[in-house]
Amino acid sequence: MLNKILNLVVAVLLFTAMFISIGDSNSVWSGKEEANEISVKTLATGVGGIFSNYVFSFELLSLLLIAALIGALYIAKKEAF
Amino acid sequence: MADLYMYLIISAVIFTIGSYGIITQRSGIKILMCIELMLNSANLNLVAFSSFNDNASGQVFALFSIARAAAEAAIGFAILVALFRVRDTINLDNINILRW
Repeated sequence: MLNKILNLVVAVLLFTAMFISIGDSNSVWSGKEEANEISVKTLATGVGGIFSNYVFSFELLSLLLIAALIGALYIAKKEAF
Repeated sequence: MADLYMYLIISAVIFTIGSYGIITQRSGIKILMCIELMLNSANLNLVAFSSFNDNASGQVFALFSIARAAAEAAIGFAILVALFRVRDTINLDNINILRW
């Protein structure tokens, strides 16, 4: 019972810290009232797009995914341990 | 009225729910789900700041973060499957083979 209360207190304290810091950083990002829609074309080939600035990171991401797939299969197969 | 403040508050709420789950739950699958909640709250922050600042880099980073979370979940579930074969449990209180 004490454990549950302590867990709840820790979670509430964490949320309070984040709430206070969001409120304190209000002056940094205030004045931005509405979201600007970023088109798919900008996301793909514009400045900072996935196929212009970050295309090398995109290639590395494919390597990461295939390595994770092979590693997961190797760990989860029957004779691993 | 959906300004940046609302997105940040929603993200903080989701992060708190995930961390509370990690503190309280002892099942491996539930802890992995809570880790996904925390990662997705960070993704929400990235996308919100990106679209409110008119900068595409944040959404690209969110895409990278989602792919990395998928790789992490695959490895985590594979480790849980292997552990379940050896120990017949995924209760993380009983799994202490990395403790010395």
